[in-house]
This record gives sequence, C-alpha cells and structure tokens, in this order.
Amino acid sequence: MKGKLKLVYLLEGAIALLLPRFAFATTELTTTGRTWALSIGLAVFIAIAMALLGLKRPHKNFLLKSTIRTIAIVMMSTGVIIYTLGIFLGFNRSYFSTNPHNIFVVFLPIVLVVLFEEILRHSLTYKITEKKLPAIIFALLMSIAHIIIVFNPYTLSGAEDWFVFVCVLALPIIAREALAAYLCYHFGALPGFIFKIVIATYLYILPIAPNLGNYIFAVIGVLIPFIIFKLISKTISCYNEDVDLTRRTSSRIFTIPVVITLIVLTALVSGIFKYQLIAVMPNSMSPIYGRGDAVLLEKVPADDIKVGDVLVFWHDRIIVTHRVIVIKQQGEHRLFRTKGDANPKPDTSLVKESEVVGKVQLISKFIGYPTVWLNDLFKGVK
Amino acid sequence: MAKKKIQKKQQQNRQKFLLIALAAVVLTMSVGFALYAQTLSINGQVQVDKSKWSVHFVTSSYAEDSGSVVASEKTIADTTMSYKAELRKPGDFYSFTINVINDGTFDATLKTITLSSLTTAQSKYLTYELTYEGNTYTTSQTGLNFSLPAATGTNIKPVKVKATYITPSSEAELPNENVTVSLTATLGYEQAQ
Repeated sequence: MKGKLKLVYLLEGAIALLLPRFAFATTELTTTGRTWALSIGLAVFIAIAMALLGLKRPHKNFLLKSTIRTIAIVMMSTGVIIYTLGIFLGFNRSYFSTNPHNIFVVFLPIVLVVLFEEILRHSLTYKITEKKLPAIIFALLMSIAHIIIVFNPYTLSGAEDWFVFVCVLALPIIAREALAAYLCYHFGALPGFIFKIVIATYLYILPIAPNLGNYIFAVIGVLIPFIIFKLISKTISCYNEDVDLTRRTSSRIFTIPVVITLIVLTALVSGIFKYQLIAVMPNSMSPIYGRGDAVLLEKVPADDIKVGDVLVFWHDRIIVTHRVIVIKQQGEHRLFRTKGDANPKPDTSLVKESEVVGKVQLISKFIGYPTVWLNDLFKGVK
Repeated sequence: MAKKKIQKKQQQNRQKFLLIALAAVVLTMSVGFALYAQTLSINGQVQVDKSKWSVHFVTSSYAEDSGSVVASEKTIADTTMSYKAELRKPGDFYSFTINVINDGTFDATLKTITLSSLTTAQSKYLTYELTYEGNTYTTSQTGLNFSLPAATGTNIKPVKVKATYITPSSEAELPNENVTVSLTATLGYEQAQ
C-alpha cells in the first residue's frame, strides 16, 4: 500500500508539473482544442496509472445504488426547477448544432475528458489508501486543468470580469471536482462520472436552456454539489449506523436557518420574483435612504404608480430610484416626472412606462454597504 | 467507541465548516451580483443630459396688427423688445403680435405677466394690454400656468401687445402736451414641473 501511495503522489506530481506546460502550450487554442488536448493527456496518464496501479472494481452494494439514485433525483429535480425558472426568465436556443461534425469535434472531447478523468481518479484514489490527501490533490489538479480550459484573458478586462469569472466558472468547477473526489473515494468512478457527464453535456443535448443569468447560474453551480454531498454523506452515516438523533436535531437547528437565509437572499438578489433587493450608491434620496442602504423594490405595472411613490426605473442602462412628483398623460401612456428628495431640481427626462421597474416598498439601513464597498474596490482596481 | 465518537464529532464539524463556507460563498456572490445582476447602480443626478433653456421671441414673427400705427422705432432681441409709437388722436392704437418660442430641451410654463402701471391721469386717455392664450390682461398677473412645451408643434405661442389712445370722458382729461409714456411688459417663464 505504501509503495502504491508513493506512485500515486509521483503521478500527481507529474500532472502538477505538466499543467503549466499544458496552459502555455494551449494558449492559442480554442476551448474545444484545449479539451481535446486534456483528453489526450488524460488518456496517456490513464495508461501509465493502469500499468502501475491497476483499477480496483467497485463494490456494487446498496450504497452505490442509493448514491446513483440520489444523484439522478437531485439532477432531475434541478433540471425541473431551472427549466421552470425559464418560464419567468426566458430561454436561449442551444448554440450547439447536432450535425455529425459538431458531435465529433465539440461534443466528443467533453465526454472523453469526463470519462478519462474519472477513470484516472478511480485508479489513483479508490481503495489505494484511507488517506484523503491523494483525492484532494487530484481534485485540485483537475480543477486547475478545467479552469485553464475555460480561461480567456482577453475577456477579463477588470475586477468585475474577474469576479464574474470566479463566481460563474471557477467556484462551480472546484465544487464539482470536490464532489467527484468524495464520490470516487467512497464508491469509485461511476457516480462521479454520471454527475459530471450530465452537468457537462445537458447544454449540448437539450435544444433550449433557461436564461438564468450569471448570479443564479453561479449559485446553482456551487449549491448542487453541496446538496448531493450532504444527502450522500447522510446516507453513508445511516448505513454505517452512525445515526445519533440528538446530534441530528442540533445540526438541523444550525443548518435550517442558514439554508433558509441563503434561499431568501438568493431569491431577493436574483430579481426573478416580484420583490428584489438592491443596494443604493448615492445620497440623492436622503434623508430617507442613502449610500450603503438597501431598498426592497416591488415590481408593479406602470398603472399602479402614484405621485409620491419612489419609482425604480431604467435610465440609460442604469437603475434609478427617485420620487414621482408629476404624472403626465400622453395619449394612452403615462409619463413620470421624478426628483430625488435631496436634489434641488427634478430630473430633466420624463420616465416612460416601458422604463418602469417597480416602486420601493421597504428600506433597510446599512446592509448595502458590502456591495458599495465591493463596487468601490472594483472601480479602484480598474 | 470513544474513537468513533471523536470521528463522528470531526465529521460533523467538517460538515458545519462546509455549510459555513457555502454560506460565505453565496453571500459574497450575492453582494457582488447585487451590484451587477441588473446593473444595480443607483445615481442621484442621473446622467444629466446636455440641457438648454431657450425661450425667446421669434424676431421674424413680429407683425403690426391691422389699423395700428406704425412704430417709428423698434428693436427686437431674443428676450427683449422695445418700440416707439406715436398716438396722435383718440382712437389711434399701436398693436403688434410676436411669437414666443421654446426651443430648449425642457418644457416651460408662463407664470407671471408684469405690465407697467399707468398713472391715474394716463389711464383716462390710454389703455395698455397684453393678450396671451386668448386672455387679455391690463394689470400684472402672477400664479399663471400657461404651458409652453419644448416639443415641436406646440412650442410657439403668440403674444399681442396693444396700447390705445382712448377717448376720455371729458375734454379736460386730454393731455395738453405731448406725453411720452414708457410701457413695459415682461413675461416670466419657468421650467415646467
């Protein structure tokens, strides 16, 4: 076992040394080209690993079947939820064309990377040692490899772009690799392969995809692996008769409020429901609210707006919240004259009905400051 | 048994740590995307458009009304107009119409009309009036609300000014020498609310 462990560390060390070369050598390639390069590299390492370590057969027990079932249920439920969200958010047509050329050139390397990666992971980490370190190292290496594939420095022009890159791409990649490592450590390659192949290919198989936006996409990307991990670790605990009811109750007391808070926060920030939480930057509406405060807006039709309401509207691609002081009728449509409470003059432009987002319903002091600070930080880095 | 309990405790601590880490990640994403999800940047003085206040006379629109005496001198600038007219006998009048135009970028409202007052003696042989939007005024007015929008097609309004040498009730009230009366009329426009 010790000898095999050393071989595992040796192979992982070799992967770590080759990753920078992989990054530099594939700089000029497209994402598809890099995927092909990674699949070829993984195939080579599989051959070496199989020769040195072999491939242990996984136990086909109740736990494995339960795990696969759990993954399938979570993935299907997630699919139903996000496609239902698409009814509110709209759908995008899949950019993937199902002609044979595209299937071979674009789709195939994705499948090969997932397959080879899980086989290599299985060879290096399943039943080699009780230590988790080899699994953790391999997960980190594969995270880096996948981030290299999607990394495009030409699209990262400022701190905001980096923030989006980290949230939407890097963190979900790390979460997926961590889950795959956990699954492989306990059950072998199969559950991890099933999970990752669905994630990697659904956009290519289905003709439409919901337009979730970066925020929802990022949150789902880190949440789904965590949910699967929680459910499976609970199953493992029950299976090993480690259940302790008092401890379960105490962990629920901690877990449930955190989960509910996260769900509510995500729902409010995402803007896909009737209410949305937004941070305030300037002081044009002081003393009612100002910089660092947050307002809860209610999305209402323009007909429901009255004089005196604090209107939330689009103006030249930014959102403004000012009070309605005059409503003018122009034919069948209404126009709104607005003014910040702290401003000496009304706004020069009238707000059209099509520009109305909603009206402010609640004000929360100070909770917008993290967003304000982050914005100042991004602007400073720029 | 004790070792199992310790392992169990470690496992629960790890899970708690993972939950806290997840909450921190989602919170950070929320803070960041609360700013950018829908361009949630709220300004006070929002992108103030290059604006122009421009309410003035249309010089070319000056026209003396039918029957009016001809002004011996007149000067029309953007926002001022001066004239000199001679009224020789009762019944003579000097009357002209000139257009006011709002060719700025925001609506205007006529709020005040200021007319110079006639003395008691002058008022016996002279009347001075200004007509705007079908209303004729002989004294100064405040609190008016006549709109002059900036939109093309509705941004021109005529103003009529008329000074009339009237027939007094008695010959004694006629001026016994040439009288020069300075008459002014001021239209006070403000940005529409």
